[in-house]
Order: sequence, then structure tokens, then C-alpha cells
Amino acid sequence: MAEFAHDRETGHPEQLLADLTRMRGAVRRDRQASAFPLLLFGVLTLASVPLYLDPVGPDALRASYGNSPLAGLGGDLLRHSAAIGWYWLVALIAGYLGTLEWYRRHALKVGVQTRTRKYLIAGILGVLGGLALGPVLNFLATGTAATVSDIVTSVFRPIFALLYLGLIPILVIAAGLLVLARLERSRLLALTGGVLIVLLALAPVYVNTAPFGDDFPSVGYLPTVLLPALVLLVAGVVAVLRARRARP
Amino acid sequence: MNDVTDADPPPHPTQALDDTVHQRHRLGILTITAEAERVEFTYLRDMLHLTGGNLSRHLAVLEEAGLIETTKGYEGRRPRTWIAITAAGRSALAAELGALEELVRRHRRSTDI
Repeated sequence: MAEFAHDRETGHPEQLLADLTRMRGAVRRDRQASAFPLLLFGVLTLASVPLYLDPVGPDALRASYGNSPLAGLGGDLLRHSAAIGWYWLVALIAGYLGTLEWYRRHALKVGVQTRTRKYLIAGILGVLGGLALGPVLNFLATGTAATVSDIVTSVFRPIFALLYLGLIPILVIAAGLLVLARLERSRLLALTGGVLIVLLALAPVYVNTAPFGDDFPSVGYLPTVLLPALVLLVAGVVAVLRARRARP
Repeated sequence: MNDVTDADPPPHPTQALDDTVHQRHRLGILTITAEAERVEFTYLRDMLHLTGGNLSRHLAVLEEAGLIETTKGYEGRRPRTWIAITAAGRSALAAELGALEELVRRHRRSTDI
């Protein structure tokens, strides 16, 4: 904890402002608890990896699975899309609620509570938006006039790619981390969220250009979730080490 | 016509300092609470190196002025008092910090001359 220069009565304003800035920094450090969400979402992402095993490459023509709308987070391309969708629906809800509970407990332990309402809103909007994204974009791309359809298809091409590959949940995690970064004033969280978004942007490029030819291996899609999982876990470990170092 | 206006000179920044807020411990309380959704009594006490009684008196002044809100409750068997800054508290803190910064600027300008 930072010390407030209590022994100096009304000192020089410059000194007073410096004391207040130091105090603000100490409060921010004390309420930071981002190691848990990083590790939790890292483990949840790592656990999802086997679901992305699929021996059929992206060029193969597949009929729509007609999955339940609640499994929409899994997309409609991979063999286990439905399982991916159900898994992430449960995992995202558990991850967000687990994070909120973690912050509540941290506040009771330390005595200073982070505002988490915006994180909760990000989680709700992320999950609902992720579920609605497929039906809405598919309707706009196929059920509207040709000009609208063309615009939607070209403008939202990267989102379509993430949708088909079952990677929207990683985007929901990244969005949550960026909101948390703002709430916690944490550069580590902001960096992690940014790296996840870069990896998501590169995922469709990798899938479409991977040099597998006609022999697409069953592990071909795994890097699209394995790398985000590793990034989250490494960031989580860094957050744990930093928290230990900051502890008096 | 005279181009020089008879307008009053701008008020000295000290006039913007509010006695309720300017007291350094109360300013500390507002600064800490502005950084969080709410803060526990013991956290404030330790951070500001105050006795419980002293902190209570400062909190009472701030609460009376509508700058903070306190909530008492229990967590298990342990009593807890949480303090949260109000919108008026945020405005008062911003005004106080603005006045202090202006004072520092004036001081620098006067020492530069």
C-alpha cells in the first residue's frame, strides 16, 4: 500500500498531487486480480482443443448441420460444430460468472472492489451477440437483395470466417478482457486482448493457406484455438508472478 | 471608445478550493474511493494511517456533504463498512484537483519570471 504523507499538513500542492497520484496507483494495484480470468479462460480454451480435431479441410463442400440455435457459437463448418457450440455456451457463461465471483472474493479479501458491471454487460452481449450473429448474417447474406447480400458478404467476410471456424467464443473472451483492461487499467490485459484479436484475424488466413493440400490433417484446425489458449495461459502466469512481486 | 474592459480579473484558484474536500485526509478518501466501486473501512484506515475514530469523523463530514455513501453489513460474522463515492463526490474531487493543478501552474509561472 502507498503511504499518504500524513505527517505533512497542507503541503505544497505539487507534493499533494504527487501523493494522490501515488495513492491512486496503489489502489489500482491492490484491486488488480486478472490472473484468475486469464488462467480460467486459458484452461477453458485449452480444454476445447480436442473438439476442433477434423480431418476435412476448409475446401471440402459440406451440407449445413442444422444445429440448434443455442449451439450457434460453434459455427457450421467443423465436424464437431454442435459440440463446440454447446461447450462454449457453457464455458463462456461459467468463465464470466467465475470471473465475477473471483472479483467479489478478491474485494472481500483486499477491501477494495473493482467495478465489474461493464464486464458483466460485455459477457451478456458477447454470448447473445455470438448466438445471434450466425442467423442474422446468414439472413442478410442470403435472404436479402443481391446488393445488400454482396455488401454484407464482403464487409463481414472475416466475421463469417470466424463464425464458420467456431472461433467467435475467442472473440467474446478477447472483448471481455479488453473491457476488464479498461476497468483495471491493466496493460497486460489490454495486450492479451489485442494479441487474441490479431490471432483471430490470422486464423482464416492460416486455414486457407496452410500447405496441407488434399491431405488436410485432423490437427489442421488446432492452432486456431491452441495459440489463443497458450497466450491466455502465459499472460495468466505473468499476472500471477507480477501479483506475487507486488505483494508486500 | 475605451478598448480596455473593466471585467474583473479571474478568481485566484484558491477560491475554488472547498474546505470540506481540501483537508488532505478527506481528499485522500475521495481519491481512493474514486478508483473503485467501493472501499472497505479498514482499507481506508490502513492506507491513510488514521485511527478508526479519526477516519469515522472524516467520513461523517463527507457523508454529511453528500460526497460519499456508506453501507454497513456482515460478511459471515465479520461486520463490514463499505464506502462509495457519489456523483457529487466525483465532481467535487475533479474541481479540487483542477484547482490544485491551476495553483501549481501559477506557482511555476511566477517562479519562471
